[in-house]
Amino acid sequence: MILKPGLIAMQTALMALTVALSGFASATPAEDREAMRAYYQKRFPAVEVNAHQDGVYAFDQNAREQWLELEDFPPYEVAVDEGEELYNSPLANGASYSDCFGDGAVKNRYPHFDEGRGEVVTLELAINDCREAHGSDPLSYKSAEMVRLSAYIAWQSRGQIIAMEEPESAGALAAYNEGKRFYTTRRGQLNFACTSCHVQLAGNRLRAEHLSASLGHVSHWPAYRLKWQDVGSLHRRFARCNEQVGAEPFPRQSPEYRNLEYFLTYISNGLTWNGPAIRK
Amino acid sequence: MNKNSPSPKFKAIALLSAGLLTAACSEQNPAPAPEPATEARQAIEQAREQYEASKTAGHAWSKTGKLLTGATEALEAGKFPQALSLAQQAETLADASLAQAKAEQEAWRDRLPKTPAHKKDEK
Repeated sequence: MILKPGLIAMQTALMALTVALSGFASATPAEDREAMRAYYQKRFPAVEVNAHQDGVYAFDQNAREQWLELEDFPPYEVAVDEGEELYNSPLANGASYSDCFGDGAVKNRYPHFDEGRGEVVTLELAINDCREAHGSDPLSYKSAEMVRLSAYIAWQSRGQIIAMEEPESAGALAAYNEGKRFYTTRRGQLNFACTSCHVQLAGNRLRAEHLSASLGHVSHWPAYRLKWQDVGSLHRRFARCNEQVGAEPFPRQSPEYRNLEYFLTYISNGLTWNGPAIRK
Repeated sequence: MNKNSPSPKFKAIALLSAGLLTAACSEQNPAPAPEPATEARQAIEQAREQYEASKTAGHAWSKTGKLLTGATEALEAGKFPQALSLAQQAETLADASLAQAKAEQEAWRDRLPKTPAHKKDEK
């Protein structure tokens, strides 16, 4: 879904107005991040906070051992190779992705709030911007090509530290607060918020699986999920989470999911970009 | 007077009863019950309106859409009681999801950990 810039700017202005009028979310992003880190430190005293970038493997020893064995022959490797091939293929006007992203190690640039467009720009949006700037049609956000390209970029960016700029402008703060609101709002017939599982119940079991902490939720995508038997995107996972609680999911790269990614990335500052990864 | 003909008293009572019955019916004039197809169609429309409102609020539930699809299919197949029942279930869920949206307008604020300084500011 491609949204018109004018419409997005209007939406952002309305969001900013809502924030100003309601005076909500008085905690600053820096306070939120500090509070979240302190909370997980207390909840998981034996786990170094930044280790949550490995999800449940940070505290579930059995799962960690299985994961490390899988990493010997990682199932995402094919996607990275195919992504590299796509990355080096010419776009419609003969340019390539390297004209937009250099060697591809650019994960730490995204997401960011683009003041001109008045919206959060994710890596996937930037990939389509690059394609359109060089005469190619945008890719579907559900396409295998999009996932493979982002898998290659994640691979090239491995080891970079998540260091998103603190949202300060009215537009950036509105986007951040919308993402925070999305994360903490109960949805679906099961009446669950993201925080129900990943804050209040983090570390507990839901059936046979441990529930991971919010920190690091964005660091390792795209990921090969054993359940999917394929590499998939962060927004696919968001959609699946919504479905699991009986809520209708939002489209991938919708403003709702991009704002959510923006919020989650900021609170994960200090962790490492470690995608692509393997998850159950 | 013929032995088999009704007595004048009986005739009077019969006439009075008929008159009263006619008057009662014409006074109440109840609306005819809607046709089953119309009733089901109206229920589907009503449920769909609520469902669309829940979507606008960003709180649509997946089951609601499925029930509405089932109701529409049942209507098209002429299974009116089934269509009505599914539409009524859909409306119940859509109403609940709208109630959730309303409750969450404020409730979401307290679900993230806070720093001690921030807690103090709030007091």
